[in-house]
Amino acid sequence: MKCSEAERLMSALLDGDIKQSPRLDGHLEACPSCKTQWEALQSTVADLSCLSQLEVPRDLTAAIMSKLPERQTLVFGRPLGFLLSGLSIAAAVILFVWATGLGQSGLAVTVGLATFALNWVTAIWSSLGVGTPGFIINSLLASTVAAFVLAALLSVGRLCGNLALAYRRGA
Amino acid sequence: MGELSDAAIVTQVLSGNRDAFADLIDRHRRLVFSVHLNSAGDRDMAEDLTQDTFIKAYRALDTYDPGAGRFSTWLTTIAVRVGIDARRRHRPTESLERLHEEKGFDPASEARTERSTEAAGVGEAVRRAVQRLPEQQRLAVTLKHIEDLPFTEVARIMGCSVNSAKVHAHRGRLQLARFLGYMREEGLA
Repeated sequence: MKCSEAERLMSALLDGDIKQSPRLDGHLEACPSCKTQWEALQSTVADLSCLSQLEVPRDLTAAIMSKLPERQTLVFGRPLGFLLSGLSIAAAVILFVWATGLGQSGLAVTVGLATFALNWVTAIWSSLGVGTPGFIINSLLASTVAAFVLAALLSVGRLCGNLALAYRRGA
Repeated sequence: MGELSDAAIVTQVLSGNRDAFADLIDRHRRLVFSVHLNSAGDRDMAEDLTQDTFIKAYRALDTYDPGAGRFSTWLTTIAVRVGIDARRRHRPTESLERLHEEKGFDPASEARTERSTEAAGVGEAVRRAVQRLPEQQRLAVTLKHIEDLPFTEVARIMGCSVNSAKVHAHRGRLQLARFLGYMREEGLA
């Protein structure tokens, strides 16, 4: 056996990949250099294991707990996430009813809401005395709907992520 | 009744039970403190870095994904980053090499002295020798041989393959054996 092979076996033993190696034992009998290296490595690992007996400061836990920030950053994200998720679900239901034509009342509510929003915006423009530039209102409405759909899609993604994480945590 | 898993405690903390975080600290503070002590060397600094690590972990707790690995692995990864950032901010004012040159500091002789009084306490000379190792070797040696983590965990924490982690540990052991005087320095007769 070459010394390089012996060194590989020493590593495998110290890494815990193998429990013993008769071939290495035989080589160490005949090679003083490798025997010295093996003894040195064993002593080194033994020294390292001594460092595992570590005294941790007793008041460390209390010190950390006293410095923990308020959970604003964590808690804030959750209700917002649930709100967005709730909105996305409502949007999905309305879109489903509207797209499939199911439920005359659902469709009526949707049309009613859209009409109300349109009248509201028109009234604001009229009160400003600038008339009713239809293309501007249409553009604003289209942008609002697009933003709402985008937010809903993002919320659905976030909701799915949260549910998956909660499932993996066993909640 | 069985002990709650780390993931279950994380869920409790995220649900508003702030005090449950103390259980996570109690379970893992030794590991985090050990990682910092073996790189920083100074107990006060290691304590500060351990506190920073847990506070960062607390802030980022909702990003912990139990499906991606153990909590201890996630936490140790944060500890490693905190340690690296701290070393970047505070360059050591007195390197061990300078101690060696200017004050006659000899880790090998210290190690031998230390071994004779080992029962009295922690092998400071061994720890100092560990601190002299390059970052990756020190991390591999600390996690494998001091914390007794399996190489799969070591590799995850280090962000490398298992084989790379083993190579770092192997080189670290050889280097340590030289630092501790068990083997001669390369190039010396």
